[in-house]
Amino acid sequence: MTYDLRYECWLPWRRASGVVEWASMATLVDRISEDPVVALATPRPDFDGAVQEFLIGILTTALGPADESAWLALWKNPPSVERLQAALDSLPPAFDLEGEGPRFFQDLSAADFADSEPGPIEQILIESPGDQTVKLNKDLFIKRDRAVQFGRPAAAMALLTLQTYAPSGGQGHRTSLRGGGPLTTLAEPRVDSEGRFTAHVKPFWHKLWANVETQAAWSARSPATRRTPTDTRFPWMSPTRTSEKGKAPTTPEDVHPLQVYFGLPRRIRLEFGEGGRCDLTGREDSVTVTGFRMRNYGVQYQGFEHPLSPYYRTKPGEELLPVHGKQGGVGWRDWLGIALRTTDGGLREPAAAVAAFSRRADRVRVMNPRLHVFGYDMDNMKARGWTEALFPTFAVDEERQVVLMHTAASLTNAAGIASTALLGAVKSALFQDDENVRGDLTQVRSDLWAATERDFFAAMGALAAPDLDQEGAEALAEARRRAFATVLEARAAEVFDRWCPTAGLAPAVLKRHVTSRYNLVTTLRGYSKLGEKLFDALAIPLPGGGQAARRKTRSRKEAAT
Amino acid sequence: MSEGEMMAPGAAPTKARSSRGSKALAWWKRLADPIGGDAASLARLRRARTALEVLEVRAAVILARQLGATGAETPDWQRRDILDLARVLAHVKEHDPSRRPMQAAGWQTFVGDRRESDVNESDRPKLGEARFRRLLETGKGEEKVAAFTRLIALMDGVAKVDDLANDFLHWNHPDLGNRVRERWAFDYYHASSAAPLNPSNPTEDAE
Repeated sequence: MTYDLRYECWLPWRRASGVVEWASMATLVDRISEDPVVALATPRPDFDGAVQEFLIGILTTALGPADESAWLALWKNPPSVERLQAALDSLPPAFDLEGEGPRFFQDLSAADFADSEPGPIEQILIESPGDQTVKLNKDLFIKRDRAVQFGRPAAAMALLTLQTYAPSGGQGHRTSLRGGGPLTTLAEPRVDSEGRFTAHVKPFWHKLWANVETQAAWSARSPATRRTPTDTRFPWMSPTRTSEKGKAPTTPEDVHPLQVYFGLPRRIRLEFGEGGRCDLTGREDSVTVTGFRMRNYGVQYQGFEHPLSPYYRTKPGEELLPVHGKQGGVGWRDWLGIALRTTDGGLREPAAAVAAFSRRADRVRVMNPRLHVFGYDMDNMKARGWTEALFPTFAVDEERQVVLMHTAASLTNAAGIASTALLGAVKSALFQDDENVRGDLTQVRSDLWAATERDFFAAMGALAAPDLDQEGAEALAEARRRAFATVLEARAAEVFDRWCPTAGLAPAVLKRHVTSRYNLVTTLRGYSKLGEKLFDALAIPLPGGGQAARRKTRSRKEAAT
Repeated sequence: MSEGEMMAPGAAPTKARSSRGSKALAWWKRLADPIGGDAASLARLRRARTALEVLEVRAAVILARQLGATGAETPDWQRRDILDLARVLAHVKEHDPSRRPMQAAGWQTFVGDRRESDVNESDRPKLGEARFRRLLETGKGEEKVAAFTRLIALMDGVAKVDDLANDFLHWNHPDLGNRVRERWAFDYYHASSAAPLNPSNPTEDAE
């Protein structure tokens, strides 16, 4: 039996009309004028994410635009279904899910797995409870046996999702090319000239194509000293470069740069069975997948820069690390690092695809694309959650980019300080002994970030306005920073009032409430040490010149009386 | 905080009102006027102990009418509340528009985490903290009249009549009453500038 993913109908496409159609890969561009495919409709958001990344990789590999003008040509005139299918046909035979030869995203050497016991297929899902959890009966919220058998489409999606986002899985079970649970940022170009989001009606083709690399680009990121005579774009076509003790990790010098899209950290072989109904998609398949065998010491990737993820350094000159999803999800607090290149020693690099699209923006006349951000929030091996957000971005020249960057940094720091003041105030209002408060109140901070998101992006949008010259932008930046102090005060007070209602409070507790709110408000107005730190972050003048100046004024007054 | 001066702008602005409080103020001003006023009625209101005795003072009925509480559809408790208000306001000798009741009676500086022994004598509250807390727990009816009357006496008969009247009338309202107490607490502890703004401040009637 074979199941070649270049021909089988394993992808659920949603069209602009709302119809969901299980069809082949090339259907992506089918009827693109009449009723285009606008999105994927897989059963899970992590499948949606990983399959998108896979498709971007496939388009990069199969259509391989040589340079930016080749890229632009296909942006303007997407390929026909026939042309796309022909491009897929010309790829090496790396897409068979269950045949005798190389299997899609699985280990080549079947014999190595003869002694491994197959585990339930459900455990291929990243958030599933592992053996230990099941043994100890700790699967309280995400329970075992939710999905006992998969159809082949779901199995293919689940497999490539695991390989793309692989968390650490115990001794020798390697993380993905970008570590465990990376954050992905894609340019989302489907906005109209007014900046309105149009992804529900515009072709999915453009979202994928916006993030496709040219040959020039991936050649540039491939070290000149690369030494691979064989085709290593699809690692499962060759025996796995295992990583037992003593073996060197796999670096960009060892493999083709396009392997980043098809990383294979885990050694897996799927087990196929009788026909049946897929527990994930509800569809019938003549063959189901009920289990898989896994071995450790798969490929250990090191030193790669994946074009679809942002990177950061802890110190200038240190190695670049992939950004991972944080607890509490992703918000405007993270925007600076993933949308703009920072000039503080290049500590943060937005994803190469995002940077590339901002350079293409002019030619395709998409001035303010969105940034689609998503990824798992992992706590080592446990999945805490899936985070997803859509942010604005602004196409501006280098000079203006600096203004945006400095202002964003200033506002982000200030909000961080304000959230600390807020958390302290909430704790002191709610608890008599606020030093030893147990329990997780991080939601208080998240509430403030959520409440200030609109104001932040309004400030960025105002600074990015094209009808503003550089001098005007700098003056506006100062005005916006001042205004943000007022915003922070108002929003923090609102969040405080939500967390600390006064209805029915005993008088003694009411006193504590009053004191806490007073301390919060005065801090946010620039008084107190923390308040001065806040105003310093905003680079705006302190009230009365600051505590030292006010003291001097007061003692002068007292001396005069 | 070491500063005793007022903080930055942000204290709740007083709005122009045609509220029940300002009507009560106008009523009181006419009665308390040293020239054309009605000292006798005020004295009778101060002495009144039963509803009947209050109703015999024409001025009280006038107040009720001016506050729109003489129609047949007005609930009994509301009418009684206004008559009680008349008795309470009769104890006020002087209207001071500059400070709300708890601003006058409470701390004159924000204490916060400072030791109370570090605070100047002149900044200490006229209304002691224990008494303030008991005041917040005042219920309704005679208990309320007594508490407010004692408060006015403590302040030597000086009060901001319109606010006092509004606060009195809102005191037992399920939502507004809470906001009155909240506002009193911020005023008492000299933290008015940090109190929540509308709609937490009953600066106008809700009815």
